[in-house]
Amino acid sequence: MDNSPEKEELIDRYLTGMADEAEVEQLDAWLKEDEQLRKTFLTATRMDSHIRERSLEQPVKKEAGSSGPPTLRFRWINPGAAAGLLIGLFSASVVWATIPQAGGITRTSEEVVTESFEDPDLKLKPMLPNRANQWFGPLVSVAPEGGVSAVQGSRVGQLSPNPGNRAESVRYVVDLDDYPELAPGHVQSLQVRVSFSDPFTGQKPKFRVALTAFSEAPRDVREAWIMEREVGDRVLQQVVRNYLPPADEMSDWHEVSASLEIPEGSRSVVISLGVFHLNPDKPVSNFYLDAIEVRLVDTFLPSS
Amino acid sequence: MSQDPIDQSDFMRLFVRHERDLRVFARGMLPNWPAVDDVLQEASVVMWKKLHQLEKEEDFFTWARVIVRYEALRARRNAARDRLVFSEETLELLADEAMSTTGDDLKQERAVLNGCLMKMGDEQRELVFAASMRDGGVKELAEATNRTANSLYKLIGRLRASLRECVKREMKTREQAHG
Repeated sequence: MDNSPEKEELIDRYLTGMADEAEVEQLDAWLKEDEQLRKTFLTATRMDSHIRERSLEQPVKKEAGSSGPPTLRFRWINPGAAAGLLIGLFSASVVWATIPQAGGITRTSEEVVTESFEDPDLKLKPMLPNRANQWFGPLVSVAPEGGVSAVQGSRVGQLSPNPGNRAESVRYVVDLDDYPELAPGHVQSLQVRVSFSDPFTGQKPKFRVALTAFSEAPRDVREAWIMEREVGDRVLQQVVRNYLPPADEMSDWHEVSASLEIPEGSRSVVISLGVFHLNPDKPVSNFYLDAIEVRLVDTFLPSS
Repeated sequence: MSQDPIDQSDFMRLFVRHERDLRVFARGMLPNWPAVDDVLQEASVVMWKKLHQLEKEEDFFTWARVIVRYEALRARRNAARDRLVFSEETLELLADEAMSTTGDDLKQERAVLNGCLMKMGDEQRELVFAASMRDGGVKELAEATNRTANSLYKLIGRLRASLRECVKREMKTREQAHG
């Protein structure tokens, strides 16, 4: 049996965020007593979910005039990305700098994110990333111990691999749609710099910075990552920089950098910062990360 | 026949496969999309920790929904002062009802909805999408287009109602075609 239009309209107001307190209270009372209305409500929430899925799949409309060279504007296209920054866990700022090069080459550099894990309440989700502009991985903010000082600020990120793991990483997705469209004659690269430390002996880890360009939007990167491990249709390019600290410098900070030239058709770049070559038979160590700097560099190459 | 134990790489594959459907389930219990995102995040961490409880891959969707349900109720208790959320009793009733929906049901609904969306004009479709992009989307859209929120809500409400009717009609036709 169908429900009254009044009840269906109230469900719609609730789902579109238009219902006030009294209306939510009324809907709650109706749902409690009416099984048919609960079915109607759940059908409506499923439709709402499907519509949202479809709406998020739509290509983002570029602003008029975006075919010219990159400008100094910064556009937030993805509301989720903005919300991620507003959480305030990370200090991301936007700084453009134009660096003249020889031969008419112009290089424009934009800060994507800097991170030194100063928020004492920081605790990341230990999973592969499913959204842009957030760090994911088994990491918490700590005051460094064992005679180690932070590279930046007073705290560092402590990466804690699970017992038995041979490798562990923290990851971050850059949504390239958040940045100005690339103009003809320009190439773009992502440059990452991070400091690692292994203050507790017992393991001889290698440190790794891996940058991977995906054709997928940030929320679909995880699936592409799992399904397509090699470079292919969705994993477009990957750069891996491994660093083995000298045996007598294990407790020092080690700065590791990597740069990825972003291929055409890329939508997301995943930054993985991790340790590997762990011995699962030895006690688990904690590792420190600090002073992460990520920049997007736009280089103009004159055709002559 | 014994199965290999489900490990963490299996978990990622299963979670990714069912994430959309889990999101649909959570939406039935939660008032807005940010709340759905938060609960899914928390639930995924719980699933990760309790993976040893899952015996068969085939049980993942049911098992994962139980965890999402628990996390949604927990979120509701934390937001008890919020007057825009349903009572715990109502949420339990909705969750009981929603557990009977299968992944195949959702797949079919998505296909039918896509067909109905394609029958709409471009502008109408964009209005429907814009309103669902984020919470309060109707109000923001109204401000951007110099209309009152109420008049725009009514227009979008009519479009959503016609979509619902289209889906209902098509689902009925499919059911009849399959006896």
